[in-house]
Amino acid sequence: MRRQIPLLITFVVGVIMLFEAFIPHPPFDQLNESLSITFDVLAAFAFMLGGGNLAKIHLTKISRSEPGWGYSAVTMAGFFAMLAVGLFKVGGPSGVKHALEAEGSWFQAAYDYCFLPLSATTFSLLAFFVASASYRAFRAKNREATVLLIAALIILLGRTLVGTALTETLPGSLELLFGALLAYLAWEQYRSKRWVSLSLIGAVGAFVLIRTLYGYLILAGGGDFYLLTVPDLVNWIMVVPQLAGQRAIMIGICLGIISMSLRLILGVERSYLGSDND
Amino acid sequence: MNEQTRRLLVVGAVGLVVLFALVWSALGQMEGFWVSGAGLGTWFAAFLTLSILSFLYDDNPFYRFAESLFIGVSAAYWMVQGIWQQLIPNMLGRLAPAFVNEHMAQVPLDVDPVDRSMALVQLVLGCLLLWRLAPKGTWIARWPLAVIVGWAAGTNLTRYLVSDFTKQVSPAMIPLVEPSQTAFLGIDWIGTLTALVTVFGLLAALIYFFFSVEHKGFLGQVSRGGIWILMITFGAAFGYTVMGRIALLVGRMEFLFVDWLQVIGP
Repeated sequence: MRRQIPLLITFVVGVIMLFEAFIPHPPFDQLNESLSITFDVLAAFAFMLGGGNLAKIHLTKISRSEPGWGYSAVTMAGFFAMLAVGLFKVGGPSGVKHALEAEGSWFQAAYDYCFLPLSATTFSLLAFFVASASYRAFRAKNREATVLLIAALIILLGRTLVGTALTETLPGSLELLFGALLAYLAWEQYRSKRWVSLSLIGAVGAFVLIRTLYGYLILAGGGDFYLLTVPDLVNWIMVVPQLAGQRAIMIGICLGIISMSLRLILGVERSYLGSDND
Repeated sequence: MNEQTRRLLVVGAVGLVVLFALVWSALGQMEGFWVSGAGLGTWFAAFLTLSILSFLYDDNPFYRFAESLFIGVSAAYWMVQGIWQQLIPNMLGRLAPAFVNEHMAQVPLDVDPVDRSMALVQLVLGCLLLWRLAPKGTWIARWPLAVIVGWAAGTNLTRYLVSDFTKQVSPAMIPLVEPSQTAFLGIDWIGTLTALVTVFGLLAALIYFFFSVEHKGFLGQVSRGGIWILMITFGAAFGYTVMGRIALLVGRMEFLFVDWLQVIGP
């Protein structure tokens, strides 16, 4: 009983939602709307459950004077203060019918002067940790890590003013850089005497360098010639190889979600029910 | 450096900043916390910002205070939002529309009987979910959980099938050669390269995720190309994440130096 009924509920609700996708007519569309609202309401109850659980844990810690109970008291003070000003809509226009974010409301003040600085600063701390983690992870240890590093650097350059300034003051610098990179690769290939790849890389490198020099001549003569800029390269990366990889990841995630959803609806996956000891 | 010295260093640094701010505000260069409610709020926000940033040096009581406060405040914030945005208009407003309309929020007075019944079901399910906090019989909370799981499974199956599968596969089915009237050999070379990378990049990355066959020989080479495409994707994602975090940090610095200390003009 304790496990069968929830499994049945999951099956019925899941099948109704599946039917609604293929038969968007009464009664399935109405059921879908009702169940969507039920989901939102239950999500709100879940927030209450989370809050209640937090209070239960910290109040127990305070009552037992466990180590660190002072910090639990701070947590509870913040929790109950925010709850009180939010639920009773303290401050702002008279009555409780006004919006939570109304002018002069204490809830909005608590958001502006407490919640917002705390969340923004906590997430901004990640900038430092990402920097130190990337220093360890991105030392170009192998080719794959080098590709990741170069892509990240190009994106960082191209989406800031530095990238634009770089190619505006030094037109063709990207082509020269690319040509130099290919020349270096060709030199490396020459040492291992892989003639096919050497010829290919050398030809592309030579083409890039000759094209850039030709572009300089045209531009010096007052003509018009397109030379690659960092923002253009970033746009191309974002729209072509980045999107291709992202699509592959999304397709993979989708297949995973479909299989997990089917497992849940058919009752194969039961881990969300917890243990039998509950 | 032992724990005691490190703590003293953090406390000393924070004390110096506060002392500077006090002197600065006493000189009339910035708003003191005693001037207005907004001034007090700004000082408190600055204290919390500095407390969180102090973690960059080491774990310390200021950081722990701010972290504990953050946990409590954010739990209550989302709880209040859930109550006022969902529970009151969508559940209570349908069960007792006249009462809610008079005392809480504007809701339609004319409620469909089916909606009212559904609101009652929601109330019962919600109470069952909260039963999880009770010392005994917590298994009853599985019923509302089953509704949440069933809804999410049924909705996501079809939603992701459309948004993450069909809508991702169809834009990848494009001509591999891009013709051009003016370009060399009648081919737009950049467009063709773009189409080739779009199609074969996706295929290569998908092959990397295909584990039913061992990645050896030709398949291994293609899978290696897939890794390169995925690395570019991760590099781009990483670049954007770093930029987002730096933007947040700039925002906090702007708050400290412009809004609080007012040493830089807006």
